[in-house]
Amino acid sequence: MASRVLSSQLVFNWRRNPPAILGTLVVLLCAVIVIAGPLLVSQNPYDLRQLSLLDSYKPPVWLDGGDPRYLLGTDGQGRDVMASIVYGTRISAMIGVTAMLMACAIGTTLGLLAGYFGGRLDALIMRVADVQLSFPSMLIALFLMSAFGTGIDKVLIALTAVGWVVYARTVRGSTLGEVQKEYVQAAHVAGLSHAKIILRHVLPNVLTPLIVIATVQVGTFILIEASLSFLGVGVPITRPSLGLLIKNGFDVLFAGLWWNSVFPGLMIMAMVFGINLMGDFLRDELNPRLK
Amino acid sequence: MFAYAVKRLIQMLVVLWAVSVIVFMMMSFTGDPVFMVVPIDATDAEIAQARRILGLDRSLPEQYVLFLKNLLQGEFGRSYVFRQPALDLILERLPATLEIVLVALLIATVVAIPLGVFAGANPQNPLSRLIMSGSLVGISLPGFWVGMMLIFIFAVELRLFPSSGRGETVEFLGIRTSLLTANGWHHIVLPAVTLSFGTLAIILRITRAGMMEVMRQDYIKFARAKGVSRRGVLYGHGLRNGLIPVVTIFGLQLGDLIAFATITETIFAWPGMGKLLIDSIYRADRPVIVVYLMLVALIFVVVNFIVDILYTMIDPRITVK
Amino acid sequence: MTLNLLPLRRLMATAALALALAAGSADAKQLTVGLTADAVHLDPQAGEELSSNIMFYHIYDPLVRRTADLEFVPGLAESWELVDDTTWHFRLREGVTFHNGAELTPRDVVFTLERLKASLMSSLGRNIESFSEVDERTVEIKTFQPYAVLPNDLAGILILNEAHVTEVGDEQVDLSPVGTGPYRLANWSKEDRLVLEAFEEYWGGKPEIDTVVFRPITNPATRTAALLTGEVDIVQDLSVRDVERVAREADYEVITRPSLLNLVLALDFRDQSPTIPLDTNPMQDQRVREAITRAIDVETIRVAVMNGLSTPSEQYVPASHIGYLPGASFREMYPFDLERARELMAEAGYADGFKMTLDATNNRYVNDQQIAQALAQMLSQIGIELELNLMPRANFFGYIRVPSDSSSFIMSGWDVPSGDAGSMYGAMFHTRDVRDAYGRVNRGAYSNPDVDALIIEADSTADVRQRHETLQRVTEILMQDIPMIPVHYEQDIYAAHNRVQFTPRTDKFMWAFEMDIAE
Repeated sequence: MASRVLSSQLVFNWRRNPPAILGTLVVLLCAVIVIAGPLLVSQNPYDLRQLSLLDSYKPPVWLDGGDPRYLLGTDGQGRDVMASIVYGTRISAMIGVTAMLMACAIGTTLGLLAGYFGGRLDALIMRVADVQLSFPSMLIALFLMSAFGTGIDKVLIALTAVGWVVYARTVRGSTLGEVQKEYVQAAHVAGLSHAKIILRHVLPNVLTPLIVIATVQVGTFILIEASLSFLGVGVPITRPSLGLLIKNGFDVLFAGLWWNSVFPGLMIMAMVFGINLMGDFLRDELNPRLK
Repeated sequence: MFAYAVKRLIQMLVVLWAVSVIVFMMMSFTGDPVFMVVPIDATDAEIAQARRILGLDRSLPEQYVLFLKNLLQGEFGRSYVFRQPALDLILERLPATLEIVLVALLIATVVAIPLGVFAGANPQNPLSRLIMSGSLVGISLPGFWVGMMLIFIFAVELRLFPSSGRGETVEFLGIRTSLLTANGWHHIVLPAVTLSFGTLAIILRITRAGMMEVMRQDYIKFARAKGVSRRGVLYGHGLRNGLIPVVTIFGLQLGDLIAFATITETIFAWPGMGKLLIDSIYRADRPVIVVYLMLVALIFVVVNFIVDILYTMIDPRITVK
Repeated sequence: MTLNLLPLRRLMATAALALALAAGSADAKQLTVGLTADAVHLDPQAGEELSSNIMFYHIYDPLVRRTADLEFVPGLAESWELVDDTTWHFRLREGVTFHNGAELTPRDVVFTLERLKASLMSSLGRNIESFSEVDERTVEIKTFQPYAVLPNDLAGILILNEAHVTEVGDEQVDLSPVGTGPYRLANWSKEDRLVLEAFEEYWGGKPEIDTVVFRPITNPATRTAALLTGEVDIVQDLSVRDVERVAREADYEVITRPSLLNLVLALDFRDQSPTIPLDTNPMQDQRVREAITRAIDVETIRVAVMNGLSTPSEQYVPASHIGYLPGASFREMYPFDLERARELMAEAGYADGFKMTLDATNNRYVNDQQIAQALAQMLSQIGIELELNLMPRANFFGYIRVPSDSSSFIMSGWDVPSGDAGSMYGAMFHTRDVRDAYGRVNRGAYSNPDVDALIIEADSTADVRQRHETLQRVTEILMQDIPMIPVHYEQDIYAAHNRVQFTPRTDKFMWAFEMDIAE
């Protein structure tokens, strides 16, 4: 009942908030690219057999020497820049969302346990969180990548390791509040198991604040991944993310081959901007303190 | 107060110890540093000799115990690559990093606070919306992209600023700084602006949120009702209280700035410790990485401690426990 | 990004020029060099990489000097003679002084070699058995076996001052070096600038350029920018894609020179190969090796990946080297020919190809990751599905190290600044694990008894001509066997302001003593 009211209110406010609408549209567009991407472009940039070195560094189609097959030009391997961006967006978005979900799942679980049971477990989890919070996320991720080596799986591990803390802390805080409440006490008296109380009663009530955190975190993760790839410790070059595309593009920027870095740069900016616009809107709506 | 300081100190030591253990463990996953030092065709005897010289002939736990022992005597270990004390290597480069971090923080603060106050005080103004959207763009851009574009436009095309390096430095109180020469400032502009982008946006948003919160408070409404001018309310009452959250964020931002300085320094060939970290990672130079991370943790903890103290001074409602 | 900023730029340039004129051209000549990295050491026995090497040869001298074109001429030793098969006498130049005023004595040479043997760089003196002072101007050096190219080895050993090293200790030698070289250290601000000043009493005459400033600028794009904005006069390793951009500017020129670094692909010869999911190793079949060679279009790599700035390799060593076989070329023996390559694969029974992994670096050689991708593209044409395993150099050399248990196909570079194929052949092509110090880099476990015998024969003669002929025979066999496919030599690319007079050296060690600045 309460959630119905909340969501209709949300929709109402959303309709009157142009930045929120813009953000949603951008995010939806990215979602289309991620899901239907391969259908939108004719080339699979990962299939090396489809590439020809002879087509390398063609400019965008509206410039002299442009090739109608390659709308935004090609890179040094003769790869269609637009196809690279579509596939790169998939990689970037996939990494951002997957790492967020993993961090959220782990962080929420630990936060619930810490807040519900308290005691030594709580102390341990919170001490680990404290240690980790003495470091900027970027440094931790950078360090982990340098220790593990490059690859998408390792980027996911590094980002998860960086991201869980914020969920654990928030969830622990709200759980502490919930546990005091009468209905939880009543459930105890009624003899419900801990697992049932946590899942049925506590969890649903601590999730709302996580929506904002999760939304913004996807954007942050996409940027951290891009920075790691820029430093050469991110994803492999055979499956480049947007960040790696930009990096490779920089090598040829001063040579005048700007389309290799500018277009992926605009794409990553648009995607993260859209996510942040949505995050902003959700924060204003879901966090009554700032309303 | 004293008890609080002691508690924080102990916490800090625990953090530093944990860092040293984790880094030691993790670094055993990376490439064997000895291969960075010996030639490709080194004989087994040559490799063994190099291991002995670098202290890599012992097992990892033994190396760690030795590391701790040395640590207690104030020895932080020696770089495998430079063969110099790791701490010296880092301290040598620390001033350069602090320079861009502080200038970036300064730029961010000077630009962000007025804009944030304005946007917070006039939330419905179209200009405020523009400021807010602009700040979002600031958070949404990868820093290295901004840096390269700035070099491309302002150094290569317009030739207004140098593209790299630190410029002239002078010795001041035993520290080499470029902040006392015109040439030094000329060099610091582009990297500091690049670095300030993200922080600027965050400070702006916190300031705005703080102001909006304060403007809703009853005492502001009272003051307005009593006939205090709008401007008076804004700067007399609102600003002071609205800025409290900004102080806290300084501590956190300093850490982020140091972290992102690694990238900025790499792009602008700025001779700071961030670039040393990246180089050391490429070279599997474990002692330098350990000391770097411990130092950053130390800076972070100390700064946040100071922030906590400041916090109680600005806002008398809060006391440290 | 075709911003039209030209008018503004002209204005700025005029202003800059006016400033420069106002400052007046001082008599002292100063050169600022943009390097890819800062020097790590100034103690030549503490380690080596290119930037440190550049500093070493400014500050110190070797007994035998390697010229820009890889000839070996007297350095601190004015002459030398072979006393018997394994004993050499080196006569020191007279009146050579160190930067601290001390005179060079045989004692310094002996001290240098002693210290070298116990250092991280002991491999430089690998072929030296013993050494001693004969008289006040002569040093005797003995080798383990007849070794015709000892003087070439000595070009890599720089002479330290015994008194200085003993006095200040190892750590300080790295920070405040004293040598006999044409320049001495004036100031070193780490990662920012390293300043050298001319040593007036240099035995080879006073250098033309009074002050040399080295600035480390790692990011290639930033390095180009620093050159174009006038912050540095000359840069090392110009990015291949920036060549046209710099060449367009009237005041700058791009200077290239084929390097000694040969990019090679090592093929696995073991019965089973770690990354090939088959019971047999297809690459044991010479036809498969030939097919791979023929499927790689080195010319397209040169044009499309290297922007024309590479020299396809004919053999494993360049024409200047001992062991080079005139007239023989991989490119003529196995020219790019997909038809023939596919036929060979079919004849060998692999018409459908196979899968394997290429191990390569992503930050060590020029455009290494692009080359690796190009190879994957090319080999896919003959059915070989190439996975790429790209690593930073910190992990790479440990990963591929013999016994190379996880590698089938490795791309790496090899250069031989000593001008002699023998050391490369001994390390890379001699059977593994049968003789100490041979086959240590034989990553594919190639083994041919004839090659082994010839390598040993070459290494036991003190006669350079005979060594040359023996090694040429090895070259001939290797080109039939194809244990490795040579791809290309990189080009060393420099860019400089027109007023800098500079000729690149084969060994890449930029040397201000050979440079000048026009007024």
